[in-house]
Amino acid sequence: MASFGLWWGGVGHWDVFVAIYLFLGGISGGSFLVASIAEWFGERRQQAGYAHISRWGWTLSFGTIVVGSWTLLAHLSGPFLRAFMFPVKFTNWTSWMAIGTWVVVTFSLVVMARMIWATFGTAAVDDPSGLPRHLVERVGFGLTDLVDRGADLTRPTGPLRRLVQVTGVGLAVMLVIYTALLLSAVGWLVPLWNQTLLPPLFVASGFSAGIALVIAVTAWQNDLDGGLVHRFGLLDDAVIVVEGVVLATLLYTLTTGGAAAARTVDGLTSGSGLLLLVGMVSAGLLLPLAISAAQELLGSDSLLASRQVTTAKFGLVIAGSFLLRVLLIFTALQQPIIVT
Amino acid sequence: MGEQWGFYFDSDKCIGCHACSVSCKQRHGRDPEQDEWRTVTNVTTGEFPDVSSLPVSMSCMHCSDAPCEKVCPCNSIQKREEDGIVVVDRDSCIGCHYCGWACPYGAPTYDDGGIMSKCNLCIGEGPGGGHEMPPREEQEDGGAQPACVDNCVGGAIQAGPVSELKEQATTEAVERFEQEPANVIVEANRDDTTAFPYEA
Repeated sequence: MASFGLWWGGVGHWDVFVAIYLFLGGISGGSFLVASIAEWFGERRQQAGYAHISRWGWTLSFGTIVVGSWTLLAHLSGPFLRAFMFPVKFTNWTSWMAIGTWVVVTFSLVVMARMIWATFGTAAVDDPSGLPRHLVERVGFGLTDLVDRGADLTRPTGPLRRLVQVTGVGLAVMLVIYTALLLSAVGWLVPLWNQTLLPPLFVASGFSAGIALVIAVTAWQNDLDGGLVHRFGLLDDAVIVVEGVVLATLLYTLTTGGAAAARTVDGLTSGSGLLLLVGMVSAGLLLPLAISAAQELLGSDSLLASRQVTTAKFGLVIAGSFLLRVLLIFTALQQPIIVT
Repeated sequence: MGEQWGFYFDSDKCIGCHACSVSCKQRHGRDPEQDEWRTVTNVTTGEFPDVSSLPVSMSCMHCSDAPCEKVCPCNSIQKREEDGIVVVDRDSCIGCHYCGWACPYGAPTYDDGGIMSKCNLCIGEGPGGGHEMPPREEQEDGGAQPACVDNCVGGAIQAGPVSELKEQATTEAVERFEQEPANVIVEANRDDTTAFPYEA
């Protein structure tokens, strides 16, 4: 029997706090990966810049997941304290929200440990850079010495250190993928939240934004070597290209989908949806790649290769990563009910 | 597993009077402006002047594989084995609205306290009235008739054990029911060119 008409159900179940959370979760995981890459290279090459990148990577990863966790709690409309009972209440292992909460908690503990080991203790006293150390020094009361001793006592060595490194990378990847799976778990009902494409899109976006954040901050705080900035910038460009390809594929799948996919395309090609899409693609993908291309063409002495322009490029990547999450939350539509 | 309960809806008998949704709100004390456990929507097709409209009354479908239950992180939503009714434990709901995205029928509503509530097939009254209630009984055994069924002027909505509902339904409606994971048997409108299909 032919359908009589379509009944469009409710939309907009989530607010901007969820978009912020997904963005911060992605950038936190990405920052951790950048820190881990820098650590790996730093163990093999005697260059101070890698240690600075690692230190800022752990610190920014910790800061963003802490703020991100707060925004996750802020979006809940139920009694605020109820969510803190999650160790007892979150027991539905078919729900990505329950699984993801444990990923966030475990990741937060690992990244906090990594930040403390990188910023405190004997190794860090030689080079006392990093925000956490400055903050603890301000507190006074001999707290710095206490944390220094604690860091030295607990810092793993040998195989245990390698295990912590690998576990951290695994958790960082899981964190970013989970933020995608949180949405794509209902992808059967929401065409924009494609179950196959959203995880790679989020990994690429999170990693790209993580590189941008960590390298931009380290470049300004520790006068990072231009060669290192350039190398990580090229890595970021490669990831941005991958992100662009996945996003284009996702948009293409919408053009071949059903009624909800077609209506999502309408939303993305008009009004605020179009503004978000153009803003996200321009800021997050096209402009950073254009700046990188211009820097390569004009050489390292040109004005475009200055630290300010490079920082602006990284800022655009971060803005694009945020806009991607806003786009995915606010233009998503559920399949209509087909009335026959 | 006990006999699964569900709804039966015949669009040919629905006149779009909203008695079902109003009586639902009254029985459960819901917000008359926002908290709609049962909705009546006029689904339209065609373009002016050749437009047809069909009133459809809808609530939680008490799906056999309830997707809301799968995504709820705190197991606050439960598909009851004894009667198939999907209920919510409002004392553990955190208001994450994940069920809102997972429900294909827009059934979950969120009140001023931010906690989810929805149709409980009138096994209790008020939000959360279905949680930990005894198994659903038929009216002759003392069970309350759902408010929407009780007040439907055209007899468009019925509720009961699915096996009994099937006996009233057309073969086509039963076949469609068997294919779809919802505890609702829907009669298709039999003349989709009629703007107002109910004949008194």
